[in-house]
Amino acid sequence: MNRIFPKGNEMRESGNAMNRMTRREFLQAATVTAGGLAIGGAIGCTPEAQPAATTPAATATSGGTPVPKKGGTLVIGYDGDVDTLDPAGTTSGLTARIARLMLEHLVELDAMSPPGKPQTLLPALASSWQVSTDGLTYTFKIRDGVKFHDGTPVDAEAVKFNYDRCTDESHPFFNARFKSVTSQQYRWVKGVEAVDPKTVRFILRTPFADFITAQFRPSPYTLFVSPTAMKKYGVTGIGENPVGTGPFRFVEWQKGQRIVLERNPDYYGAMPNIDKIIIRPIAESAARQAALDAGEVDINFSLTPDLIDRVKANSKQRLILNESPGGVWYWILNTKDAPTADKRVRQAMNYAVNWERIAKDLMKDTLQVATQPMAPDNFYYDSSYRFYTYDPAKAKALLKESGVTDLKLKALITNTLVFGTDPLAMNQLIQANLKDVGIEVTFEALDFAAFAAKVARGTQPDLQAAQTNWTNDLPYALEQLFHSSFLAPSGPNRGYYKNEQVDALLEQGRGEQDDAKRRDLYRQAQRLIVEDGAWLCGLYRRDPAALSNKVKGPLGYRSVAGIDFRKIWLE
Amino acid sequence: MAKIVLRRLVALGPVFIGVSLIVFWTIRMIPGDPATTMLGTWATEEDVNRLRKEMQLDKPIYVQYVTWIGKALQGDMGRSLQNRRPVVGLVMERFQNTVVLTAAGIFISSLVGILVGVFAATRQNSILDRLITAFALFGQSMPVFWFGLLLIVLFSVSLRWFPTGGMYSAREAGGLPDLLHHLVLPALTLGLVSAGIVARMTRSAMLEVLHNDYIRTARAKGLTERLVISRHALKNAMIPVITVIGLQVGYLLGGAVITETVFSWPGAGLQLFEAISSRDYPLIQGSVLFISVVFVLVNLVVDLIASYLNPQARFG
Repeated sequence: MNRIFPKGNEMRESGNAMNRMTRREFLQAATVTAGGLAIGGAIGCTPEAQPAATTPAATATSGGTPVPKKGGTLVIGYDGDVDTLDPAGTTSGLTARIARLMLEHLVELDAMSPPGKPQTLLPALASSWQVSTDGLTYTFKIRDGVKFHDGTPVDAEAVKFNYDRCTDESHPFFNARFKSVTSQQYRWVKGVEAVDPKTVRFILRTPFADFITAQFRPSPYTLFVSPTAMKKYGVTGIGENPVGTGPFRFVEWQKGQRIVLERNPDYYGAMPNIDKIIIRPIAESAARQAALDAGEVDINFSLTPDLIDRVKANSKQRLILNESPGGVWYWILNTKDAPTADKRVRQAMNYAVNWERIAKDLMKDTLQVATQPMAPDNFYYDSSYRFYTYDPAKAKALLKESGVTDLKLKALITNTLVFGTDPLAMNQLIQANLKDVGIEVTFEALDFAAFAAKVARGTQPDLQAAQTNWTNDLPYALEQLFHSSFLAPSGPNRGYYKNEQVDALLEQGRGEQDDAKRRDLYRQAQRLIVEDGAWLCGLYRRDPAALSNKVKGPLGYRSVAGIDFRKIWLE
Repeated sequence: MAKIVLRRLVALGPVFIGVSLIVFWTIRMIPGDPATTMLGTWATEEDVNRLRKEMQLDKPIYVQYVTWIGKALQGDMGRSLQNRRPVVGLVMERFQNTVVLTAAGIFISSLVGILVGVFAATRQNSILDRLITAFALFGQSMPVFWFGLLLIVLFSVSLRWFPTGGMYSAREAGGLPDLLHHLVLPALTLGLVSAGIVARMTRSAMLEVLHNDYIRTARAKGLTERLVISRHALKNAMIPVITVIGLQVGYLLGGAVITETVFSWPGAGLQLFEAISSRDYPLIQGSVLFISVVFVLVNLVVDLIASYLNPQARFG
């Protein structure tokens, strides 16, 4: 087996390889070029017998727990630059991820929460909270002594300010963009009151048992910025000078080149071990991985599937997967128009697809087969439930029963690689599977912007399916996707799915305060949705990333938040 | 001379209007708009419409055009829909970086292209000549994307001679030496591909010149071959070559998108590509207009140089 990239540091003693280039090394390099010519830079090696570690090896010296090393600069490679660092100014997940290092919420969701239970809530800017008995009022006590990075205090007015700028049209810093971006996250809140400097109240429209989890989830658009900074920099400027309360504070942003953050020495919580974080946009996937190989970045957070084998084979790097598959990939199905209006056709499609093959063989286990809408580590997930398995015979039988022959479908897909999926390859496999049971699928492939515009209108008589992603950590999203009050084009229920039973279960669940009862209601709803064939599902995303082995410590790689940068350190 | 310059500058006007019309209308014909792109696939119609209104996209298209062109003529190209910053500032910021890259690329392309082209022409039909022609053709046809990645694999990852991309080092943003270090690979990528074209042009121009009578006379006079080439042949051969190089400048300025993407070079080409992906209309319009104006001006300068070098044009 040929390892294309040299093992170890033999080529780079002191970074001055030019002086030490021997003839053999040159020939080796030339052979590398010849190999590179074949595939053009993105080469997969046959993996050596190395387990893909998802946790770092202990660096124990004396046999105890490893001691974090302080200091150092961590460089992260992402697949592009952001437009703004104000999460309320854009729905870009990348902005949210970076902003989370500097901005916070009242409550934090524990990344180390055990699966299968409601996620543990940790105090962040709030030191404690209470719910009223009718479930409509949430009162938070603000932690003492916390300041924004600019030294101004965190108080109830600051919280209210952040809420109002996104919702109150008369607020001096209100902006239509803020409102549009955050409307889904604030939709259940009727108002926010600053009762006294240390007490803030959220008033809800209807009881919502999962309110805190939904409001303060890690992929938020509603993180708090300093009102003083907002007044100083303005509605646009705040996106270039984010001032928050987080473990890192903003230093500078050289557009298209790097974003620099440094440790916040006044942070009230767990002090980070590393001094600086530098974020580097590298658009091209192979170049980004090359940067990790060359040591220019320490983490490649946007690892594409074609590079997985290479990372696994590289002894100086490791592959990490998100512990909590924080998103599901599936096809929306048109439940309104023929032929997919017939439940049997939709079920047949679900039986026809070999999801295991896509997850294991094509995507090398960086995706996981989805049996239901909610994520596997989620409180509402039922690990014993699986309705569909790969059964082409059953699919054919169902189609025959439905009387539909010569089935031709059109599916809308986007070729823009997103979230560790490979849409083109995955869709082609699905197409092949469907063909095996007699369903002809043609694709309409668009770039992301065109795709988003078209999918917003929902499925049409001439469009039976559309590929999509969805973040599935909250059962509220079940409502968005499957409740009849959210039908397209005004809402995200793009398949026009309508089931009164499901509607009732979801509404009941939302208000149910008892955990066990609520879980039961949502599980019932999920079963109905799955058995109705409301969608063609699917796969959970594991968001593969490549880490240099210099990065040590508990990662807390969970959900869309990314890793917990407070706990890691650099060797 | 002055008349030519004036006439060309005046012609900028119709070019400006023409390009603006084309870019304005074509990007609006592509499906997808900035509001849905910005809000993602899960936004409600209400949110999208609110944002569209704020972006002033709800007005009729001809009204949008007139508003925009009116401001553009006064130098205000509007604000980016993504980050609200003035388009002029955004484009200028990134254009500087593209100029650096393009200048380096042109330098390599001219140096290598001319030298190699002259070399081939003076050894016409030899093995070397055939090899060079083949390489030039190969270079010209090479996909920039592939060649760039190849250079990264070889020189950055294997040999660790050069960084994998970016304009400055991520860890410590250094000064000129850091910039030059980062400039080598992308400039080589751009330059070598372009050098192929320049080399072939130089070769054919040189061959044509070398077969002229005055060259035979110069040789008969006893001049060394080197003098013949450098003093007599080269200058005349340069006229078409300079025109080609000028066209290359235009191409590289606007077409460096791919190189900028591969090497994460923060230039105007990459910015334009990203603007198109997110349907940032003002930024797309501003970028394209800017690049076309620069293209016209560069060609003007190149034509002036060429006509200066050509005595026939200078003296009638």
